[in-house]
Amino acid sequence: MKYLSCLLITALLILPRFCWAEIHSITIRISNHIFLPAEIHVPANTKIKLFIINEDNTAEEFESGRLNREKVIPGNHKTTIFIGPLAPGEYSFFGEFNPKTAQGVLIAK
Amino acid sequence: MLLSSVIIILREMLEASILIGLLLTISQLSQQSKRWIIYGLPIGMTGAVIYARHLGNISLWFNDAGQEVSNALINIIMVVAIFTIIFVKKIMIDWSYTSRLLTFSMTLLLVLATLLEGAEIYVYLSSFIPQSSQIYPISIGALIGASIGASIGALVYYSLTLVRQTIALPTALFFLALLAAGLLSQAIQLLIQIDWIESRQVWDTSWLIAEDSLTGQLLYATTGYESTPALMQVVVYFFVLVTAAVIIFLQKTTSAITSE
Repeated sequence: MKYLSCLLITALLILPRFCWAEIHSITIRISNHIFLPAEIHVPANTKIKLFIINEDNTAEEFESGRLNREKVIPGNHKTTIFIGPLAPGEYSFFGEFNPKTAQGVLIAK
Repeated sequence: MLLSSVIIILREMLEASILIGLLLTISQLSQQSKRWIIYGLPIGMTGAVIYARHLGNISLWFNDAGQEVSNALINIIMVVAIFTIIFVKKIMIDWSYTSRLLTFSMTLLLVLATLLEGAEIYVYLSSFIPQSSQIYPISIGALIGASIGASIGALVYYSLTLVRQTIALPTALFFLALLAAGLLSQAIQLLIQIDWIESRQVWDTSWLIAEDSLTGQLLYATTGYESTPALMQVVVYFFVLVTAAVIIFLQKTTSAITSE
């Protein structure tokens, strides 16, 4: 029983590390109300850590209905959001404050 | 710029406006003072400006998760306040302090809703109005958006106060419960977004109703509709809704029994 609980605790401590290892990081910049790059390729079925750097002086709101994400990024600030694991497919996102120019797509393969 | 300004302001105002309409209806039906709106609005607006001006710093808390954590916390407090109102209206009978509790919950709800939605409007307007070429389209768009938003709240209030009280009160409470379910589901989404909670997407109805379409936006504001919710969001959504519906419906049947 003692061994079993030791094993369980070790497993619980190690498990998050495995999950952590699976996270895929990617960076997007916002410059002149445009996402750079506007097309991002990510692995499907993997958790993704998205760094967004807003280089404009104005705020932007990163938004995507299909990704189910929404976050305000004040001017000259950076932020982090997690997305996925995603099924293979295309997920469009946009900047709500500048929807005409700030458009992008994330492709999970 | 004009159109996006209309959409942004309307979107932010819609949920708060519907909430205010419902709270006013409940106050009216309870013959309770509506003075909470006089306290709540200025406090909420001041809070919104303070929150928006510090958003950059708040966002940095908890490893870039400050915005999500504070918004989720506000959502959870709002859900508790909504449940307090439902409990007071359906279960408690002692009127000496329930009236005060009702006023307090309504003020709190108004303050928090104004703070959340107002902060985003402030961030947007303070960001783009200083660009002199945009002053007119953005201001006019904001005025149009705000007027439509306020009209929808007024429509909720007037249409509910027109129908019989026996129908209007449970209807208003049920719509309030829908808002609570949406708020809690949204809080879960925010915690998933910062990886505090893990939950996979269950379905995708964006082909049917896209979240950023007009119908999607209206459904989002009234029922908390999401086209790609995570499992945990769906679970808490229905848990809140069913619990609230049981309280609202249960008391309806018992009061019907006692009146017979």
